Amino acid sequence: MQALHFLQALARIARAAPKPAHSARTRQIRHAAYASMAHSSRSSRRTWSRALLHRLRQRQQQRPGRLLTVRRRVRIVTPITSRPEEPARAETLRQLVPGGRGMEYCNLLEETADYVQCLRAQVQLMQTLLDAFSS
Amino acid sequence: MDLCESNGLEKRNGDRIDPQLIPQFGAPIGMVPVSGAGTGTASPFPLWPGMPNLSNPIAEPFNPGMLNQSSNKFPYSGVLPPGLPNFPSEPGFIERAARLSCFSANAGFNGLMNNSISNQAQKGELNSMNIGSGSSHGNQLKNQGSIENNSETNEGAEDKISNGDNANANGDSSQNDSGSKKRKRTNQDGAMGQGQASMKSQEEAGKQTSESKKEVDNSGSKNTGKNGKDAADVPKGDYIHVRARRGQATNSHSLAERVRREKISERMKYLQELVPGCSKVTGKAVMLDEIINYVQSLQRQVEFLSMKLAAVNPRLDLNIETLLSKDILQGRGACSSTVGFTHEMFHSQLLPSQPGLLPPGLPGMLNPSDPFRRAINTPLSAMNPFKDPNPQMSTTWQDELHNVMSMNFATNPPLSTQEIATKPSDGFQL
Repeated sequence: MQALHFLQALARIARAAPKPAHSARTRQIRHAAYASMAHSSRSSRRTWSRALLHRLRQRQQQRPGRLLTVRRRVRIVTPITSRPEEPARAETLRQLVPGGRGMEYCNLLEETADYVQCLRAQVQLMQTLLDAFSS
Repeated sequence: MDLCESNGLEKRNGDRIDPQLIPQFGAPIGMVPVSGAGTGTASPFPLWPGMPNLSNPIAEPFNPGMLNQSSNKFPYSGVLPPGLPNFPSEPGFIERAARLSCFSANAGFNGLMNNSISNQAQKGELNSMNIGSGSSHGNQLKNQGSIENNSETNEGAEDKISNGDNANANGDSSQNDSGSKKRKRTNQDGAMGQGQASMKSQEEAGKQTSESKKEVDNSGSKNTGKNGKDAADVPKGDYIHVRARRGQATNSHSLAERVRREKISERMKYLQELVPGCSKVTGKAVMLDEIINYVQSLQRQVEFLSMKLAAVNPRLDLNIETLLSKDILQGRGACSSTVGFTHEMFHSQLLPSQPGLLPPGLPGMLNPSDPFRRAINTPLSAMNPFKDPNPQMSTTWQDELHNVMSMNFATNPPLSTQEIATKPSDGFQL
């Protein structure tokens, strides 16, 4: 499911008028990679996949109009969920995993596990494609 | 338990527990009869939502054999309804309750039955008990509410006696079973029969359990936010049967925290397996660092690979992509037919151009497709760790890959066409 989506997106990107800008294509491919990760059947029910899709859509909406505006959402993240027994690095993990801000530590770990699995699968897929296309 | 049963049998009709039944208690327990939820009994106690309504109120909890097993798990906990009036603090009652109640999260019945074992422990706990009825009420409610569920791994310390449990068991055991008054009476009778529970503990237990039960439905995570380990022993009664280990605090706060800690450690273990090279690392802090590093490296890899793919992408023909997407779009169901068709298409396109080329380099050319196929299969299987990858899908993918490979090779020197030419003869090795 994940690979399917990714290849479709790749096809779409290749079919689209290839922008000369290398960075633009990179961005598109990365976008496609994360989107396919979020759409995979295993993770569609996860918090991180929803948060990721939301983030991607936000970025997409920004893109067309403004090239250089970096929209900063001033999000006052009060450590509501931080608890004394949480290790200090939990905040870093929250920033890494999409949607990790609002989760409790316990659920954060679970989401991280799922996220790691999907990331690994995606990396493997991309690597394989790269090898296939460049051989 | 015969004693209990016999006593309970007398007034099984959902009447309030008469003081006469519990002469030792000295004062009417004042417990509101436990009512089965929606059962025919007219007992006013509402059953806790989610509490199973045991059909056999009498037999189970008083099975001494059952109670003595540490792995017993009662689906209910002795909980008094919130509206339970305060128990008169009778030292004898409390003692009995303390002795009787063996605190397991599963049921107060255990406590009831094993009081003999842990008298001293109970007494110790009793001392720390918060005897005020109101406070115990509140405590219990909060504590129980906060108790985490699931971990049934804890071995119940049968010594553990929670006052609440005792009281609950005695008074509310019926609740556990079916919320019927009879139950309660029986429990009480049972306690009386054992003659060991202290009234106070029972009282406390009953009140606390009921209150805490109420809060069980509320998030289990409340626990950690709450006071933590009170001195007051709170019945561990909970829907989710968590047992306090021997020698550990039976406070429902601590119990819930323990459950939570176990959940966290379990997830950390799972993460440890996921992240390569973490099996030797011990300790949560280092593990967390490793996990963070791994996630960061994976994300960087995605970026890097997408950059490379962007560079490679222009090489692909539009045909390839179109065909690929067409195959994909046509779905996994039609994979075989589609693939066959596309392969024929390939052959029709390619064969006329370079007919009759022998494939001296065929074996060499064929090799890349196999590892490619395998490589694609690996992520496919990795993506579905918990179930078999859809064989049809993998088949489709393999076919797709064949197509892609053949297309790629077609654009290359004639050797590729040899491969394509020989492909149909080989048949598809999926």
